[in-house]
Amino acid sequence: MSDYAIRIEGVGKTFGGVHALRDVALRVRAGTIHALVGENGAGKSTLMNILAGILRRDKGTIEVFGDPADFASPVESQKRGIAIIHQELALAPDLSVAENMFLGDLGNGSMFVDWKTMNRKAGSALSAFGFNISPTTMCGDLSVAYQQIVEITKALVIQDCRVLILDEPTAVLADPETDVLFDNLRKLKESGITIIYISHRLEEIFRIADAITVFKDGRTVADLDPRSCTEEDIITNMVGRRLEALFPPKPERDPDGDVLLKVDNLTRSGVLDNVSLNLRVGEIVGLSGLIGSGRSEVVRAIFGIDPIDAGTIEVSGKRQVIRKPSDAMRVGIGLVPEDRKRQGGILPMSIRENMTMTNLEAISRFGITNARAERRIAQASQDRVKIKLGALNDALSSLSGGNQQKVIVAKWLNTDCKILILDEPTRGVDVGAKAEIYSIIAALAADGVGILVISSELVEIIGLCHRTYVMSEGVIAGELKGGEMTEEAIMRLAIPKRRVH
Amino acid sequence: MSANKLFRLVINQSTIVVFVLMLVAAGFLSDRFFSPDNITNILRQSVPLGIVSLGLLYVILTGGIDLSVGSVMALVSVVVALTIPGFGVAGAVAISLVVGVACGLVSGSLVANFGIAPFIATLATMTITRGLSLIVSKGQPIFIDDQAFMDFGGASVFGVPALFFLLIVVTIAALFLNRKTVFGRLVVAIGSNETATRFSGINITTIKLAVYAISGFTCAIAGVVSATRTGVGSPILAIGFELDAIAAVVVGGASLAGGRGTVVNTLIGALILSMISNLMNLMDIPGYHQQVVKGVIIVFAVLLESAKRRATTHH
Repeated sequence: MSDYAIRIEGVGKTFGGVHALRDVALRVRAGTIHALVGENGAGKSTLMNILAGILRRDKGTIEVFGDPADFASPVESQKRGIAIIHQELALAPDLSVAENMFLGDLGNGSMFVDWKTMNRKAGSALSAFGFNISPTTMCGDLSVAYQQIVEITKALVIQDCRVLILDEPTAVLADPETDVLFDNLRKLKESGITIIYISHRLEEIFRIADAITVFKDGRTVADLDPRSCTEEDIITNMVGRRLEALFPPKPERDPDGDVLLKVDNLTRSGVLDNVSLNLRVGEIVGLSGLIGSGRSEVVRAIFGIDPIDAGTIEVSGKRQVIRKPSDAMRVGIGLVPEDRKRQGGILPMSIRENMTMTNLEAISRFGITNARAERRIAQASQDRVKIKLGALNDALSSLSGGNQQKVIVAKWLNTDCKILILDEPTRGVDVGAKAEIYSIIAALAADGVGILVISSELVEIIGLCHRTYVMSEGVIAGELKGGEMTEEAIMRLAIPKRRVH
Repeated sequence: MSANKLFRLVINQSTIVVFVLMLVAAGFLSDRFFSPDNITNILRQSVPLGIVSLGLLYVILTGGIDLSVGSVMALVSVVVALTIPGFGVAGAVAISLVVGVACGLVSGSLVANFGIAPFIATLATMTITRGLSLIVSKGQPIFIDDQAFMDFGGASVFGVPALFFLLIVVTIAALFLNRKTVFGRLVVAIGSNETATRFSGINITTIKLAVYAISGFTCAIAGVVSATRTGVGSPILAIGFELDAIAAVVVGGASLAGGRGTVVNTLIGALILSMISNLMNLMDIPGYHQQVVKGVIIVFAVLLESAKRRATTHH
């Protein structure tokens, strides 16, 4: 019998040639709280999904309480006592607490629901953890923290789990709720439950964890002891220099050039708090931060997708009210959105039609399309962004991810926009296409276009941008220029701070 | 032509293939089917359904639905019957078209401006317009006493009913709108991916408003056509007609999820449905049985369509 609840050695996982996990080793002692930290995309969630039976590993060994394990489905993983609580809770809001807890087997083996027994069982399970939640309350009426408690109780009691995985549980919690959660996690630990805890908030990790494992680029790079290590130790291990020769030279720009875009005190209740930034002619500015820090929400607000509660937007010195994307387009702003397939391109339509979607005036007269003008414009776009394609009449879906993204960039080049915002422009794109997208961005900046780039990849921000804003929890945590932009400096600003009580 | 190529052609043009097969089958099933009188009859019968389906196709291409088509036809037939004495035929037709477009704009506005689900919004318009047509007509059919108006409904050119030419004109207009205009392209874009279309700076509201207005317009034409054929403005005209129209569009291969569907195939879908009714009448199949047969044919048409999609996505 081993002391380890979970023992993982040499586990690897690739998604279509991309290494999500290269060589991971993780040993979690039974009855401890073990924290996993790392950048977005470092491999934490992939590993946990393998452990929960949602994904399957390509290589390596996994042992659960000393016995080898290879889960083909979440049910198999649950049977071995592993439960995962995702950040997005999986409760049905219009069903009661008890119904949610027993959802897999409402009738307890029979065709009819025995409400009395079910409610009693649910109630006693909840009170066993010291919660006074009525089993007949609708889940939608509970606060997020209590919903989380319901999920955890469900995992512990109904599924009888011994290893509980929590993926950023506090991201949706307010401070007092976090305290409640932590008290309960400690109680669970004392009763012998093993907890794997994923979080970006280092302060929390020091409060609750017994051990820390740091992930980087699909590898586990360090095992640290929270009693002896510092925040600096963790951050230094999380980042590292991997600057590749992918990036073109940064174009010259005038640091005192005309301000193209000036955003002041942009606020959206609960999402963005007094965000101010500016962008000058020919400048490439980064907007970095962890996923969920409000990066995409800033550009959504600027582009008129989400409404704002307060704040002003000036374009070339003139105040503009932007209520919808067409308003943003009219004042010369373009957006390459983060989700290429759902927001960026219209996959079933032709490449040609996608390219000219933003500039229909140029290909039509009195609303009637001019096929020749359209072909000419599409051809010019293809040459400009070097898209490899069969025919311009082929569906956009026939292209690779990188080439699809180039089509979406091209459609904004056709509008002659002065400001181009790119949200994760190279996500899911192969290395060759990445380098090409970078050089398109640099060429645009050299032509005087102001560019705002959102990226989760720190290397991309450092290699591509003149300067960057770093966001954390809905506010601009800081701005870094030129040589100040290092992975450590960005990560230090991006990681949520201890909250002011 | 290789067998593979032929197979793919059959798959891609399945609506036309089904139509031709049905024509052949009809010839065997009834010796009266191909008589000149009967062909004229089918062509005339298919006109209201064809016109309404073409307008409805635009709504369905955006991913919406219009349940109010039958009620709007009824309201228009009543309005045209009531206004001919006072405004003359031209005036009455103009008023009718305005009424039809107005009904469409109400539905469109509920969908586009107020964000109500198309099914619910047009269900409301359907009920309201049916009620209005009963109120305006006091629940009674209104007889039209205008020979010129009535003559158009029965007129023929070279043996082809004049009304069928009207359907051809509407088809050509719909085809032009679909293939040659920015509007036609945006309708498909919205149905394929509304978010990406909005993110491209397109004003979705206007386009949605317009497709329901188009549907109202085609309903108005169909309402006037029905009035010329029967000589009556009837508040109980075209009850359940929305289902025939939706069936015609779907049999024509359009997707109710939006983004997919063609004008020509929709026209053929309407012809197929009209032809089935006619054939079953010729074969003396009772009305109740006819409904069952129609339902089965719709199911087969849709199954064929999904099989076709699977076959083409494998390439």
